[in-house]
Amino acid sequence: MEQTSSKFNQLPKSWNLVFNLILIVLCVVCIIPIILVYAISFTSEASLSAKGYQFLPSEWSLDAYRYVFRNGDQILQSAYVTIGVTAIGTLFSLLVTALFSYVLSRRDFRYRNVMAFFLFFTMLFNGGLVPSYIVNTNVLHLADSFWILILPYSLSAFNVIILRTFMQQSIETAILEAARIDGAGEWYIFARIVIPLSKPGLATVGLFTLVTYWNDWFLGQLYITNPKLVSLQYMLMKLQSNIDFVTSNATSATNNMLMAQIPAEGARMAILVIVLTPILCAYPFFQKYFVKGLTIGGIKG
Amino acid sequence: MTFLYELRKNKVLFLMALPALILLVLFNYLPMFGVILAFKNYNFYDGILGSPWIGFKNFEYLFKGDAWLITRNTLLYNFVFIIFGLILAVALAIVLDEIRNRFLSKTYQTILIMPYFLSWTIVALIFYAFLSADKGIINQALTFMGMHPINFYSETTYWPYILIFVFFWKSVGYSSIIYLASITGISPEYYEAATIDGASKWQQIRFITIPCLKPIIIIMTILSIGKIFYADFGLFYQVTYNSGALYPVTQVIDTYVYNGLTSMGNYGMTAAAGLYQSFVGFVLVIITNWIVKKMDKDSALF
Amino acid sequence: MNHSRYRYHRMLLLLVVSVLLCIGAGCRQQDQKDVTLYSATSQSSQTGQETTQSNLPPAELVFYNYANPMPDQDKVMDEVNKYLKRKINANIRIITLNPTEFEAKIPAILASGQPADLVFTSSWTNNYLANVSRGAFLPLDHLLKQYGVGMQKSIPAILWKGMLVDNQTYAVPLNKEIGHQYGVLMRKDIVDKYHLKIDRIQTWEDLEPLLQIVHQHEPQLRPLDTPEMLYRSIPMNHIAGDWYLPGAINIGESPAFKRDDHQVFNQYATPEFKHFVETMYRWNQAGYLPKDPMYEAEGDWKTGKIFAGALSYAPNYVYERSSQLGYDLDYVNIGQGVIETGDVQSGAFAIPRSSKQPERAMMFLELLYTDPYLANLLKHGIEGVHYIKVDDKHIEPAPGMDPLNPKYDYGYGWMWGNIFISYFDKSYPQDTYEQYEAFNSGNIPAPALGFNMNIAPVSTEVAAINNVLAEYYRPLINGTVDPEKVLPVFLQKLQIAGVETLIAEEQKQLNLWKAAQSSASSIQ
Repeated sequence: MEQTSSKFNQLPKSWNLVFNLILIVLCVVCIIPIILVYAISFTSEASLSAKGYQFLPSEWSLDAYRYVFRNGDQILQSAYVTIGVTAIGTLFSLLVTALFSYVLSRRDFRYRNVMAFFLFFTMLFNGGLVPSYIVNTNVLHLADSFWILILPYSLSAFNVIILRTFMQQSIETAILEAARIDGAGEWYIFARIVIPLSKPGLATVGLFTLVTYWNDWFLGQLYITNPKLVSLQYMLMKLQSNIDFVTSNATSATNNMLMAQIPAEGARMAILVIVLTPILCAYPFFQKYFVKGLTIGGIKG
Repeated sequence: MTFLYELRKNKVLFLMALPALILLVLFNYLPMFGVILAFKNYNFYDGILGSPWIGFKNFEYLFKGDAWLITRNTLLYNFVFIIFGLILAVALAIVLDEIRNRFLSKTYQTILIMPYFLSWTIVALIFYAFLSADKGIINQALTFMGMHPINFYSETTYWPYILIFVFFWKSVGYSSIIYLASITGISPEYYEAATIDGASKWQQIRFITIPCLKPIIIIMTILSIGKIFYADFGLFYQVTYNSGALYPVTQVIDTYVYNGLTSMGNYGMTAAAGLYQSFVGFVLVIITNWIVKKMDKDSALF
Repeated sequence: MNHSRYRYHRMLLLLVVSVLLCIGAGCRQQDQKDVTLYSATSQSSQTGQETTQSNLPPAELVFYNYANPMPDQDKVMDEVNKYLKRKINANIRIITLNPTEFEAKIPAILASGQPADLVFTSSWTNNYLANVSRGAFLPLDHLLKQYGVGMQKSIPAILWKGMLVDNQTYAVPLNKEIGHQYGVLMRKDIVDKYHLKIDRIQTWEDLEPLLQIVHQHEPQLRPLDTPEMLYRSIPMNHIAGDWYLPGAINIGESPAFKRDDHQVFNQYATPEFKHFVETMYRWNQAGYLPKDPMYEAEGDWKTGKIFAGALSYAPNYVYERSSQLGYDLDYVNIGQGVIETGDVQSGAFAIPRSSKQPERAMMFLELLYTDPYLANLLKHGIEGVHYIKVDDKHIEPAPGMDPLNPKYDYGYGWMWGNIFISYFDKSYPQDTYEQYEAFNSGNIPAPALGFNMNIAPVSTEVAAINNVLAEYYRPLINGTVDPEKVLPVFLQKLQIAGVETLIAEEQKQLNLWKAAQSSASSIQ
């Protein structure tokens, strides 16, 4: 039996059944394409072009993965970059976001609305790609650096606004008042009261940030030329683009032979599998904060 | 000198906000000078500031030809996405939260967010496998049952439903996370008290869960109103394979701008489109926020 | 309340001012740098004549090319730089970018003035004309005169003519096949089986009896893959420098359109276009064409499910394609091959405005186009390591090199400048050069070859027209919609989008260009 789903708070049995049925249907609709993606990545190219997509490949093959892992060194290096960027980026971003959200959530802070507006404004208006590029390369000199992969995404107005709303909702002013009367400083209150109380919000925002960093190839594509800083997503995106290029521009004999060998469809799906699987493995870690009964600490009340 | 007084009084709060403010200035406000591109005939020789001003000429193409139809499509789809997206995501969060078996609940959650991680290219491929006129699964089934095959990519009738389905299929699981986390944050005391008072589960959802979700629902709605003139390019361009015959129901502002400008690469006109979309969103948000403020001061965005 | 609003305004104002100051400072710096760069450039190019290879100061070059990166790139680059050090005392960093990277990075690099000395440009990616009109590239004429004599001689005059914008050259064109010729590939076994008379095929219409026979007797085969290339085989001179934009004039002695030869017309409003789309609709109804408007043919080609396919041809392609697919193919030309300005601009190298070493970049280009050692090094890698010679024209992969997975090889290497000074893979026939030359001379120059349309005055109309084309062009061409209903709507929407303004502008610019041409030739 699971921990704290208290008896008095449970759904009637019949409705529990109905909800489960609805969810099962939804899950089937959601998971079928995913299974298809995994299946195609293990199907041989020959049977793909002969028979089309199949849930159970008539001819299994690891060619797509062999092809993707051909340059193993670069994949390893890129995996380091991605893990580094995702870990440091998510932590850094969470810290900055939490601090700012807390300031904005303080109802007694005179400039909270000014700052909220200052923040919100960036959600709608932006200078566009070229001006950003000019600032990042010519003013901040961040081209081809590790930090260009982190800083531009480290403060998302959307995340701050969400977290601020969570904080306003779950932290009562009375608790903060009480702590202050007890002589706690602002930093102490933030670290010991605000952070523990906003765990579900932090987990939500943390998950969003993690996904953003993990999935990003755009910044790499724009700013990175050094192979040591090429992230996994960017590398896979390049690989995909190379495949497309060879497939559509076969004009030399060698290229033509190459093309016949590339498992184009399968590689596309294998790339997706490589990207998707770690995220799916990371999700349960965040998930525990989204399930009631496990997170409510003793601080409340 | 209120500002200096505030600064001294809330030194720590300003300090806490400082890193975020610096990031905003560097990465958002510094490049913002680029919006003037929308009013310029940009050339590299004179640079962004030095290029000649041309008034609103870069905006003209946004109001030519099918502009009205495109604006209507963008708005209608976004209305559906905002309203039904809200209802579906909140409903899904509540259902997931109410499932008795925690293990099952977690499994459902994991599966439901999966489509979010598929790129639009892959989504387009998958739906093509179903909808293709020559070898799609649906048409094979229709032919098998002796019915007429449907040429999906040339028939506008089905596309509003297909696009809405694809959108929710891909995003509802992910967007319900916010509400799920929000429900987790509701104090169990409320439910305990309600149970002691003899409230049924439905009453609890209606009178505790949903009111507690109200602030986040309002904020999420305001934020999506800001994006009401923007459309998901991948959904409208890739999933439809940019099939011209479907344009009457699939063309939105973003695809219009893309189709119009890719061959020219005109920076000024691109900037103009962005500014137009942002400006409309901005005005709508200011109005919405003002109304919300009148009704409930604490729920407003700023 | 009022008080705080006032404060808020002041704070906002303060921020805006400081932000603007920052930008102003940054940009002014930028501008100054550009100005000094520019004057330095013109100075040094004047004195450049006296410098010889021995006393050239060392230089660093950055070259962005449109090419897929190769695993052994670093190794080859070391060799290239050893050679360049000796020849022009320069060190070059060649950054090869695949299509998506190229399209993402290059506009930003050019717009921001990031260091770059050479960059690939063309009519289809990193658009040459758009960049020239934005002032992205340096004019090259005086540099060519000083450092590019060999290139000027070896590259055909027709290519140089096509690069001219306002009588200035802004890029060095690739020396490869010139112009476009459309044709049809067909499965040889089917052609033989039904004794199809393919040598009688001259235009797209002649295909119909063949398709009919194939459809009737081989119902499992798709008679034709997609018809767009058939449409393109109708010869015309596109005035806007774009395949799709309305505005064209006739070509050659037996013009495809019944029109005055000097009048720019909307090709979509002609009876000839109507006839084409009506035929395609009929073919589609008859089952000769795919029903999906975005049908992808490659998978069906691989499995041999297609009888015929129309394509833009290049010399030797029929043999390559046969060996790749594993079955024999026949090929016939359809329509007359043409050379338009856009064909000539199908690839070129430009020197961006931010280059600090334009003359050295030009010296490098001169070597790339005239020095077989450097050209082969960049195309095929290091002799003995990546390839070995078979005879004086042909090579094969070096022992130990996997031909399917080469460490360094760009095939016939069009992206490295001049295809006429380097080796070919041993699978290429002995008369490869001759075939290219025959192809090039078989295509006739379009009347407005060398005319470059400036789209800027009508960009509003072009954006709207592009959308109308995106909506109607492909469905009509593919025959997936009924032209009876759709064609009038298409033409009407083109009207609303401003097609007449566009065509008038085209006519105006074309007339000006013609007048300039004739006055230039009368001076000569």
